[in-house]
Amino acid sequence: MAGFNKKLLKNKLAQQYYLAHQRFVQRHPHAHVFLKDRGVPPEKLREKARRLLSTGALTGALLLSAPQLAHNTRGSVAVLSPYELSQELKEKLSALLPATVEALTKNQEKELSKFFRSVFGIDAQAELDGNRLNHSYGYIGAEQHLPRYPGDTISQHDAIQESGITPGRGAWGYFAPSKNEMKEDLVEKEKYYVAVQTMYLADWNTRMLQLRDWYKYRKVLVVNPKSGKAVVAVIADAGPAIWTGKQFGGSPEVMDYLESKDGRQKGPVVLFFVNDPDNKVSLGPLEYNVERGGAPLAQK
Amino acid sequence: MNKIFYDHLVGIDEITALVDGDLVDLMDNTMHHHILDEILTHLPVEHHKAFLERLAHAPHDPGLLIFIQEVTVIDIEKAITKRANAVKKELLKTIRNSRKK
Repeated sequence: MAGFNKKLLKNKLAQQYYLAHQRFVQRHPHAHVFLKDRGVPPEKLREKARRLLSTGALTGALLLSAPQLAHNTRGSVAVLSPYELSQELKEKLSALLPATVEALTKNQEKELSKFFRSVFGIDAQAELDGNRLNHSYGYIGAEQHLPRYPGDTISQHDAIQESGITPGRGAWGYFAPSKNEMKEDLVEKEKYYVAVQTMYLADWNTRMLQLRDWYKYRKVLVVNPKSGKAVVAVIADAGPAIWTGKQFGGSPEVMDYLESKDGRQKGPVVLFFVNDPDNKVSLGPLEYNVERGGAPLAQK
Repeated sequence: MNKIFYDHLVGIDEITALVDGDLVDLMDNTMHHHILDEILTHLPVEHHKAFLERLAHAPHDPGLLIFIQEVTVIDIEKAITKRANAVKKELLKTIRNSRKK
């Protein structure tokens, strides 16, 4: 930058940016409104790409390995873009789910489990070890970051700081007793956490000690049928309250990836327990098949 | 910088390399507005919604370029490059004119 009048240059570049912005708004007002409403105005495009890539979403060459999703003309193994993959998943899920967000039948849950197994190669069930939530299909709302240890602040979280941090701890307390004792797996747990309504379980009060331990960091599969996105998270908080009309809460990273917020800041999701005794399923976006050794589901 | 689907046609790095800090963002954002203007100008209106949805969903998806190539009647890659070159020329001029005398 040596040799430039930085202030002058900044003013001139800001003016050019303003003119380009005004021209865009005037010529394509519908596009301006659409992108703004989706939270991705032109200024945020690169940020959006960064987020997707940093969360592992849509990275690398993703090759579809679930034959039942393949239907293109390029061969027996379909090569889909991430967008095409999500469209396929949306289509399949809409056929398996009721038209409105309501309680699923045992049969619907079973069919969904089969579908998740075939696509993602994971064992995901609405009921596990005799435990089930009151809802396996419901609305999820956006939660804030959780404090991971005493003294944790929002500035110490590496992404989506604009979501803020809750003033109190999660229902299962701090993730670690101190900053020094935070480990990578605990960082991931806070990034990809959900809140579920354990407090409304019929046997919560009578079996609280057992249930508390069973639900703590229980791995779950969360699937947004509207976006076709799936993420693996852990249960790390209780809520939301029944009067909110929501049945689940999602961490900023979970909500960002699932694209689960509509204008009312909530969206429908399927939430199943993941049976993963050998801890083979990683937390975060699920864009691969676990049983096929992590084979990606689509090609960029 | 993380990639947007049209970056390889634009070559914004050629001029952002000359500046630093928030000036990079100003140039980059100016370019995004121009390129989207160019694309939407040539893209038939009935395809705007599908394009914008895909863009908001995954701005780096190379399938976006394939999509707009298929539904526009002109050589859209050429149009993007031409517009990008014109914008880069203007930005370069601005940089040169801001040299200390």
